[in-house]
Amino acid sequence: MIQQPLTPGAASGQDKVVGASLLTFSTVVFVYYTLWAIVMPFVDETYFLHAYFPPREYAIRIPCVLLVFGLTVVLTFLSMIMIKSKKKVEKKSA
Amino acid sequence: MTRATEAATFFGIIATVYLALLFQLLPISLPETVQDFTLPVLPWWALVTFGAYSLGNIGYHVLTFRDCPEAYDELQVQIAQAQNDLRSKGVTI
Repeated sequence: MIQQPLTPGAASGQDKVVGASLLTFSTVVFVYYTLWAIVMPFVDETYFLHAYFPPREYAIRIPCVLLVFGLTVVLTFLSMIMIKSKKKVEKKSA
Repeated sequence: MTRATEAATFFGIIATVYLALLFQLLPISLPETVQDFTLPVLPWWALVTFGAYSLGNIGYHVLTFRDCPEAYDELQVQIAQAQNDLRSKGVTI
């Protein structure tokens, strides 16, 4: 097979949209969460910015809930695959 | 030192320092706000930062991915060739 020099182009339009939205979403999440969890405790209670953030306990509750939920989904998926593959092995040897 | 040992040592040191500060085992006294609010939140902040960094990294690389249609076509041809070759030798594809 003759190796022709490959000229890489750019990502397709839809890929660009997905990539850009992921990037901006993660940046927004990072900035918002950093402000919320780390900066706000040092800011005077009467400052206007506090109105944009929920009460501080939620800064711990939300990641905790998401973590538990995420782990549940991932491990359930993993265990279902393991059970299926074990059933396949039993079927083959039966 | 292997990579795994290096990573484990790094996290071990960070964890030790963090727990020592959290349970006030060192003779250092931090400002009250830091001790009561910042320290308990730091692991969750690290988790959120890691998640955001991972997602952003993926997004960035998807955005700047340099697509190559000729390589795709060439690869499809090679996949078809390999499949035919294996089938002729008796492997079930």
